[in-house]
Amino acid sequence: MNKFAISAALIAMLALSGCAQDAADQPSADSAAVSATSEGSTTTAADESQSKELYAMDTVMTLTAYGPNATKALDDAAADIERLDALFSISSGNGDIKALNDNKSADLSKDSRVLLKRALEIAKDTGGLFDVTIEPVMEAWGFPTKDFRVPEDSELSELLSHVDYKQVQLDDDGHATIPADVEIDLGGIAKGYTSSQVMDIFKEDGVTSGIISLGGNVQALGVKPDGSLWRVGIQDPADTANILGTVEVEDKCVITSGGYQRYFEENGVHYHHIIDPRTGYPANNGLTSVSIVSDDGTLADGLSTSLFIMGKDDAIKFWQKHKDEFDAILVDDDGNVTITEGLEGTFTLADGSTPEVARS
Amino acid sequence: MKKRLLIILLVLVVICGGAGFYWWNSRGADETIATVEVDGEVRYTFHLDEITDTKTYEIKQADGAENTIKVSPEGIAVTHANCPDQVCVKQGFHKHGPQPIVCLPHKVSIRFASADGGTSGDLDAMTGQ
Repeated sequence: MNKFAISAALIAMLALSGCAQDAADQPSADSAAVSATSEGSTTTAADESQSKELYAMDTVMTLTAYGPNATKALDDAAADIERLDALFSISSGNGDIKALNDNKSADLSKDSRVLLKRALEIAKDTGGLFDVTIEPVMEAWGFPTKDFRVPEDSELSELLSHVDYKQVQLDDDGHATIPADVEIDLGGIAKGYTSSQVMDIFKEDGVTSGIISLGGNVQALGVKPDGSLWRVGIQDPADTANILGTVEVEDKCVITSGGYQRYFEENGVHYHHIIDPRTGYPANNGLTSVSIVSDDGTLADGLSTSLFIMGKDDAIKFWQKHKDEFDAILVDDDGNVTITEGLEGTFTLADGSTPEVARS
Repeated sequence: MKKRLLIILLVLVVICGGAGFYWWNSRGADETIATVEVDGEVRYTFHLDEITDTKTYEIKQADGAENTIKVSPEGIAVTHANCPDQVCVKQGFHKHGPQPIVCLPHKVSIRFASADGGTSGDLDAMTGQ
């Protein structure tokens, strides 16, 4: 009897271990279809991640880095984010941009100079739809203070007469001047610039794999340690608790602008924070969300806003002229999704349907 | 007779073992862990699938910021906060990601991850807000 029990137990253990082997293989099989994943269970430090959460630039940020240098990289990145936040803030401290607004003239340090220069370039490329001088109009609507109100037409047209990025002068030495009635805010691209800076810090610190989200502005370094692509969910504008779809990326940022993100309602009307500089009112050109996928965080941040204002047709025309620089995911008022052709095969809709593809 | 006993025993052991393994395996894949952080520091960690009673936790900060976190079989929520925008309270109960519950003014966040170490919902990040 005893013998039987022992042999039964032995056979059972064999059967179980076989079973366990099968099950343990499954996750790696579907997480990376074609990749040379290391076998067995040796966990190297390269597979281990460190994460950090911090609050800066009026939002919550999460930073994740892999490998033995992750802790240092995260600390360095957090310190740099705080430095840039202070430099670009227009509400507190004595950073470059606040000094420029207060004194109408300032000598900018390197980061502010580079970012303002890029901002003016993007303004030019988008025909002024991205405009760093829109700040007084934003204030009239109460978006910076959350003290919301609908301004009068006359007030908006008066304010719009001071909105013009061409009035911003920046010389090669970093000396910037603006007219007395102009104010600038780099908030529309500061997070995109910062996310690209964090990628550089990760690289300098020897990190080859990491992903960050600066208040929903996502940027990924390399691929995941197992060789597979990063999976970035795009929030569904119609139901923010759900995802609309997923895009798989390597060394790219994914930045989204949507009318659902910051808004208020008055007398049943929805007023969102993406203001069309041509009218002074929230942009209303048939899109609810625009996501930009690009190597360049600064560009993507500026373009997500601009393409939202353009509307679908003009956004696609703009992409056709700049298709080497970015791809886009456009969601219209009816929930229809259009992707640009560079995302074919890497973007999937959560409901399994096929998006429309814009081609050059 | 003895052979029959052995077979019965074997079948029983395999069935029990298989069921046990299935339970263990599915537990890791489906279970979500919610992590509550205050200004970047982990304050609480909850295994949401093991919650059977409803409990509340008060987070009080030196500057007067208050958030009440409720954990129940339904999930986790911020049920009260003395913040100006109430965005965290309006988010309601959640049991899965990918979106965290965030009280921006008070620097309180609740994030979801699966117990097997992956990000909740099989995503590495979420773009939007």
